[in-house]
Amino acid sequence: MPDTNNDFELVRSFVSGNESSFNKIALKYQEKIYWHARKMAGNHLDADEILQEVLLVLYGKLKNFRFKSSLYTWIYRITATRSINFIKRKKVRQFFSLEDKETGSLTGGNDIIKNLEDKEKLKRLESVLQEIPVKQREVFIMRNFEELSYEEIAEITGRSIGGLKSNYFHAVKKIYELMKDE
Amino acid sequence: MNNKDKIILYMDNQLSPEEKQKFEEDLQNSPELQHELENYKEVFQKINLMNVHSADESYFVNNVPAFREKLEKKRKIYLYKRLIYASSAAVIIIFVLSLFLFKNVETVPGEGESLTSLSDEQINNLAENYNVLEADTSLSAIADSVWDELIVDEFNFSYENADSILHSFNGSISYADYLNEEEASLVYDRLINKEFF
Repeated sequence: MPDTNNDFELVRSFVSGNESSFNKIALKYQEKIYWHARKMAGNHLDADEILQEVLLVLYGKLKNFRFKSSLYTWIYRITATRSINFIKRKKVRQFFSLEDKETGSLTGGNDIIKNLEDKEKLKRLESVLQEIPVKQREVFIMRNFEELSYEEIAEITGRSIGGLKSNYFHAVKKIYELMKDE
Repeated sequence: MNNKDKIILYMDNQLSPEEKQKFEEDLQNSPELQHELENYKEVFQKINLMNVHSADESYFVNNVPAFREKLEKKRKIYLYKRLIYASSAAVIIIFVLSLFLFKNVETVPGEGESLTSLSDEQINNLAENYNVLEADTSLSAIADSVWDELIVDEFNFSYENADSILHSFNGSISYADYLNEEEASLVYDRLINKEFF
């Protein structure tokens, strides 16, 4: 978990008018936001849009942040919510044919991963994750990649621990079935 | 619970101490279970290896300045929108106020003409058409008859005498000039208690 005391100082400084403190907060957390969004959305363009959206929300709401949870948890909560909302919005747009279904998976020239081998690995991971339902995917990412406890995930998502365990269990089962023959 | 389920819970550290002990005993005695557990571990290893974060550094370095730029654009759009709303509101307010102002200045007599632009003759014509003068005459007649009646009652004048007195002074003197203070007070009291309409 990131340094909470430093976060407190940064937020206080930003609230008292120091704009550069927000830059520091953004620099500190943007990668975490991006990679969560990337695994949730499955491509760079959408992850980038989610990242910008989360930063905008942070900029607007940071003045009301009261440290009832850690800044990290709060940012993660915003990221998780925004990612799921973005995916839902995208599905609706695709359903009404407002957006080409292929657009989202165009990563080639727009991707930030230049190494071809890494790009292929991540592409495979993204395609596997896209096969599981959104809420199961969310819990799997938090639990497996972020190594968060169920208590931490419950605080971020606002869901019950029992439900989260069930989501994770079914996500692992599905992923195993998808990858066992590779 | 089958072996696959137990493996998932075991790897997620979700088995109770008793279940965990039992699972580990089974594991030692079952090569099949060991194999299955290995398969799960391999899948997890693969998926974790796929989780690469080797991004182009410049993306994250440039992201915050790019965000600032977007934020500035949003601010400008927000200000521009507010300016448009304020201008629209001002136009609407001026329009509504002008409606009230013109309504008060231009009293429309019927055909869109202002009274101030009419000649005396036109006003007289209008008054006749709307029976204004007739109404005044009729009111005056009622008032005169009430007055005559009072004079006749108070001074025991006949109607003819009262009328001749009025004409002889040609309207230049009032009846009140003939009354002393007490009589005038009495006439006044009678007048204010009289129902005219």
